[in-house]
Amino acid sequence: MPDDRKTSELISQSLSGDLTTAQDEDLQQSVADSREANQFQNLSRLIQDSLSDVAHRTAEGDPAFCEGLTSEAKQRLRDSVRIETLRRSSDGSVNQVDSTLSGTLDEESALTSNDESESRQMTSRFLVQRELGSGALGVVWLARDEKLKRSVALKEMSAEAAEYPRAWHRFCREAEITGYLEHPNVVPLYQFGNDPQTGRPFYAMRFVGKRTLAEAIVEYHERLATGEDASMSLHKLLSAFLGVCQAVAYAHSKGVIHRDLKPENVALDSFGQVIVLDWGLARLTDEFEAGNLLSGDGVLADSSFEQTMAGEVIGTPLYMAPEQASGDQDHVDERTDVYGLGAILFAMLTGSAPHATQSHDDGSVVDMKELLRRVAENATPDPAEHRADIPAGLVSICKQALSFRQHLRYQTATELADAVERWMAGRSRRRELYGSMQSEGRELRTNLLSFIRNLERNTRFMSSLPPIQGIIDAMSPDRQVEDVNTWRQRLAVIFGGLLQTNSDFSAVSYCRVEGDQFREVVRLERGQADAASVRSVPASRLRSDAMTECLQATMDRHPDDVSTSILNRCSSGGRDSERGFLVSTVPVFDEQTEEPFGFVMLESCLTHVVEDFLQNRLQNAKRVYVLNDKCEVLLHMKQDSNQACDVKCHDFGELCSQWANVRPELRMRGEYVDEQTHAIYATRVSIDRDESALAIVLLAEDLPTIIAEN
Amino acid sequence: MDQPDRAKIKVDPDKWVDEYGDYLFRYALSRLRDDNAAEEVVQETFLAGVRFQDRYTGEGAERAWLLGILKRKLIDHVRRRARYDRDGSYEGSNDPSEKMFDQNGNWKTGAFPTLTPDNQVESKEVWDVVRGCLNHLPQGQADVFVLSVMEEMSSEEICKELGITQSNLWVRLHRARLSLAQCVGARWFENEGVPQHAR
Repeated sequence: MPDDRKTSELISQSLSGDLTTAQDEDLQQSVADSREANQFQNLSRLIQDSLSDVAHRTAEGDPAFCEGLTSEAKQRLRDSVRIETLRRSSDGSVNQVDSTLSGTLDEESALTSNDESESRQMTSRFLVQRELGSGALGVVWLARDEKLKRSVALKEMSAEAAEYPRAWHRFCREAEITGYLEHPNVVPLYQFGNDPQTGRPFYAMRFVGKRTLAEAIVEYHERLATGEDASMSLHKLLSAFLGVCQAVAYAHSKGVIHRDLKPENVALDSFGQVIVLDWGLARLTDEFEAGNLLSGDGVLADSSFEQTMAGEVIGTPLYMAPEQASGDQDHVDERTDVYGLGAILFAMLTGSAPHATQSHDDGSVVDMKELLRRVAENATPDPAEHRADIPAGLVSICKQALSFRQHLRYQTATELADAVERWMAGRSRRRELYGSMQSEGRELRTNLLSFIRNLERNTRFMSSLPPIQGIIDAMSPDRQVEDVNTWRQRLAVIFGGLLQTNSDFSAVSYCRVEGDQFREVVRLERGQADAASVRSVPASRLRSDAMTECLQATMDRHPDDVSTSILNRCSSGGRDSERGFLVSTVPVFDEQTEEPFGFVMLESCLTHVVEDFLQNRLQNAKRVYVLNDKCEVLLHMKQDSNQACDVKCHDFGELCSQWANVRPELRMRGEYVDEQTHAIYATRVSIDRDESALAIVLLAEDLPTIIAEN
Repeated sequence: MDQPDRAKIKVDPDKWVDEYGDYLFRYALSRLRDDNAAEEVVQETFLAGVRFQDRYTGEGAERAWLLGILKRKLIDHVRRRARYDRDGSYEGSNDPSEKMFDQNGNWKTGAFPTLTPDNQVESKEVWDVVRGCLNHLPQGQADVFVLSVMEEMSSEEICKELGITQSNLWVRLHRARLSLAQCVGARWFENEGVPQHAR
């Protein structure tokens, strides 16, 4: 005896009429023994008999089982039969179309007689000039409105689409919806009608040019790639985006949901006007539908004429909201358009559609069904994963608009527009602050350069003083005129005067070089405890040391040829300091023998200099760093402090994630201006005829992404 | 007896909508269960009729000639929508037998109502219930069931047209029968306004 499941299969088989005798006997026994099997057999027979009966009776024309065509449907069918008949009439050429609308344009119209052509031109208001584009529903032409003497865009239903009643329906509704939405950011409709000869519908609208937001986005990202200042382009894109939001918000207020928002559907004219196009997939909300303002059904799904293919999925998959991709039309509402707007913003910021990465697997394109599944199931795309330099505020707005769950998105297009507008206003303020910060940086650079020139000038002047040669003469046994100490005292007085009058100079010394050693002859320095006091170092404390590479280079120079270098610590005279020093040196030659004798060295503490410059003047930069050639931090100051802070980390690259982008720019151009995030400004201070340099870095904020170390 | 002269046979497409529109639409609607799809198929039939009117030999009625085209268009439509069917494989999902059989393969209690509608019940009444139940079936099951039972296509023809295997077809048909029997049984007796004579 077969089990019940098997019995049910035998019943099915019996109804299909292919059972063996043995199977039939088994089945009869089972049906007799089982009430459920009996019921299943009876019900299945009843269903099968009913369907067979209906099949035969509908074939015979019995009207009892199904309702007939509606009068509207009949009219649509009559129209399409008539068009097809017309197309097949005369010489039977199916290509003889568009005569009323085109008049002069294409080869097909040239096939028509001159008389016809002339009469069409006389009666036609629109003279077609050239094709602007074509889509699933029709072709858009550039045409001349002969009555009002202006260019118009004319959308005509294609012959292919005209074969499908639902395409007719959609075309007409697209025109009706476009005409219904009267808004500066929705293309204005001039005329809607049917071509008297072909019967196909067409509508004329304002010609807004061919440029779309998609092209503007490509241009913007090409500029970014070449390193151009694209900040104004972003501003313009965002302004256009606000226009799109306003058009969509208006449409929502009229009960219309666009459902196919993407950059290609936004036209930009030459005067900054933003026009949202292509309302062919728009859906009307129930409330609106109930008002019966437009003809036909509310949902315009048609698998033959979708950008999409699967089931009731409507829209363009690369920009589609998850609820659209899953075909869940019940949940498509205004927030679906908010997602579409977020998708446009995503494209603006990253240069690609939000689901572009999901449409490929290892270089090959995934099929539509799989793409829709991924869009319907995968989490919100993150613009920051595509570009690291997108301003954080915009990333967060974009992510919220693209939230997977509808209730987490902005609830209206206006809310989204407000958020973007707020960000733009903040950015203007930030941009203004950044401009001031740039000025602070440039001023500091100018001051530092001028200070260095002053340091060098004083060094050169000190080396030309009479006591310099006096000491050389006094130290030469064959030409002793006066005692060396007398000359030392005279020089010390002048050196002391220099330090007294220039509080930024920390020490000045005159050294004699003998072989690979130098020996201080005179040294004046500022007291470490009391900066106001200047003391002359006693002869017993004067230092003698090995010549450094830097000092050796000084001795290789010509007289008066001053060199300046940056030292992390000043090694002169054994008075080490952790802070950065600027040191100017100049070689001294014996006037008698013209042989090198020694050098004059003027030292200045960088920290004191910068502190003096920035005293109460740091208004906009939150932090200032001064770096040497190796990107080691010589100095670090905070806005709220008039004193330099301790330097905890010597490599600035470890502190600032953006430094890798900044450094090459700084080398090449001498300045880095952060147009994207307005967070960092850097400038280069050349020292010693460009052989070495300082970098001044100003930061607008203590952002975690910029400062790893607090 | 006069034989129709092929060269002189003329069809009149202008009258088709009024003369055959409802007939063809009802036929298509009974098979496709979707107004829009039925209208589309009728339109395709008429357009094909206009294009290929030269092939109408005059043998048999114009209506039957158009019905012949419609039947072809119906199958094309079913094949087209099967391509976009999101239910995927029928081997692995949409199996109603889990609700009807226990783990040992025995009927679950109450799989069907205790009564069966009377065989004498009006065909229209059964059809209304069956039609509703067909709409609740996965489309891939409903379509093969309709092609098999209403269009009386052989299993070889259906498999060839839809590009499916015999075993897949058999699984779909059996599942359609199980689901329909359960749905029709339940609706027949549970719905309000059940015809008294069916009790």
